[in-house]
Amino acid sequence: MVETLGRHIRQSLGQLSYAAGFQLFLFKETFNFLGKRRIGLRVLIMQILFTGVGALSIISLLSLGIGAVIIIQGAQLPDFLLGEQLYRILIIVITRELGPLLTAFVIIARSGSAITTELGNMVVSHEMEAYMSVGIHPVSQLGVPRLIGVSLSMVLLTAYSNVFGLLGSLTVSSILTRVRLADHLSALFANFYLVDIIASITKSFVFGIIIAATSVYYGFSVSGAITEVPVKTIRSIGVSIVLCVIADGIIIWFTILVAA
Amino acid sequence: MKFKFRHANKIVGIFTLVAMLLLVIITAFAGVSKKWFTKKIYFTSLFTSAEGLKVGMGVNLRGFQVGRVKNISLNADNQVDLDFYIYVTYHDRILPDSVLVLPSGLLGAAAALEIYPGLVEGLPLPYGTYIPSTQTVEGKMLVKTRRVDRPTGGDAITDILAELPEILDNLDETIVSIGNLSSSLKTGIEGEGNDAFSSTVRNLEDFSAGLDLSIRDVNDITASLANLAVELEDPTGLVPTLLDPTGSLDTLLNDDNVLWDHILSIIVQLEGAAAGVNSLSTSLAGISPQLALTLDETIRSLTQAQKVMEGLQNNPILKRGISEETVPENPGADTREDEF
Repeated sequence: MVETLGRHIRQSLGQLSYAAGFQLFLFKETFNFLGKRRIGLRVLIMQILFTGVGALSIISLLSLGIGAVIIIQGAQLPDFLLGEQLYRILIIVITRELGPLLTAFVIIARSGSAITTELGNMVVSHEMEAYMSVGIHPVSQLGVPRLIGVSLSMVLLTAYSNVFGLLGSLTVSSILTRVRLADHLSALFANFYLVDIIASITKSFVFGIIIAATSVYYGFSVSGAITEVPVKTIRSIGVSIVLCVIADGIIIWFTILVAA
Repeated sequence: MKFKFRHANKIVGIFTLVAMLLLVIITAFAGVSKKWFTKKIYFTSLFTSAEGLKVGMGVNLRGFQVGRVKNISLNADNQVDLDFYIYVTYHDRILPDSVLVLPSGLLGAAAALEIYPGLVEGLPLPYGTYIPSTQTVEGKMLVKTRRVDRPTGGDAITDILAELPEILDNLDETIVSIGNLSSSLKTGIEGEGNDAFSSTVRNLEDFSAGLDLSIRDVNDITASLANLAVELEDPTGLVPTLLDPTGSLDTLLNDDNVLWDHILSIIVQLEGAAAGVNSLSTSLAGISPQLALTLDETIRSLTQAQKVMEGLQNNPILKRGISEETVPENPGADTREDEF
């Protein structure tokens, strides 16, 4: 038993050490990529196309629906739609929390899993060795554009998500209260603070980095067997969700500290 | 090749630009709505407590938001320094004698500060000027003397709420005064203070002690009066006897001056006796030298006689020549004086 425990700890520490080294290398290569834009630019464009543009419809629909549902459910409470607090609640719930987190979950499920599967399959089919044989590091060529693409897509998709979420809420509210949408928008902007926008952008960017780094790491961690790919994909999704929730908590705490 | 992949660059470009545009629009609208880009004129104020104050709360003028609170800090004198700004569009309304008010919210803290502009004609207050709050004496005086443009004519509850800070201030002052009075009374009653009240209380204690003595005297007098009343009630008592129309006093007072004449005659006799004594004393004074000589002669004679008697006593021939005088015993002596 002691031997098993010792072996488990050694393996865990080895994996942790490998993961830290991999992430350091990935971020170093990312900075290098920003200096040499031409390398992997096509991969970056395709990544934004797949992660951002491809997820726009589902994100828009989800945000519109959830924004509308918040108002419909909130309308059950007395004076919910008439109070000035409505706009602050919408801004905090949709812009600061639901927008980035919902987008992150969609990206994890859609793009994160796809990145892990794709990279895992490339490892299994020895494409990595092909890249290395022609002097191209696969992490620089495949990992870095995905990291940048997912992070940028997360920020842009969150902006869409916020807009559609707020529009959905205000449209339903306008229908229920018979107040003009323009008046609702005016009141909404009056309740917007710079910290709301910064918090939303920061969260989405951090979530994007977490999702991309985790997915790329688990994709490259496939050692050779095709059966490893779905296992690594599932683990990648789970770890990404947990890390996003932890990061969300840290950012909320930091935002409250700054606001105080 | 699929359209999507053929025009990937354009699609991604549009996707990015639209998202960026949305972000810029939201930020710009929020900024315009919250007057981020409007020039602000900063002022300072002073409060006694930060209760109900918070950074970012609005500064209203007759219900319109004309500024915001920028910073709140506790200064070295334990007073609260408040920095706030007024949007430049409303700056011309911030005249001298303006006052900052923290309204009393109906349920908890107020959402915004109120500014009452001064009624003085002149230029608006410059950047960085101190504007007193109604929590300071200066601010209270400006409101009390009606030197500020204070909104009136609202509904009853609004008017009451507007008056509430002043009422609360007055109540505070009253409570503090009562507290001071109470402590003064306490120290005064204990006689420890140095003020007029304490000395009055101390004098009162002395007066009380004197009053005790006086009351005791009055009690004695009252007891005497009671005795007198009892005496008066007793028909055989001294006083009724004296005051009786047929009593001794009446007899003495209504005897046709017989008693008076008698007393007068006694006085005349006493006067005569006194004159006799006076003449006797004068005579005695006249014979006193002779009397002195006579007395000296008598003393000398007695001395000679004593010597003769001593000689006779010592003469053996005449020894036992004179029989001794016998003293008769007292027949009525007490038996107790006998020796046993």
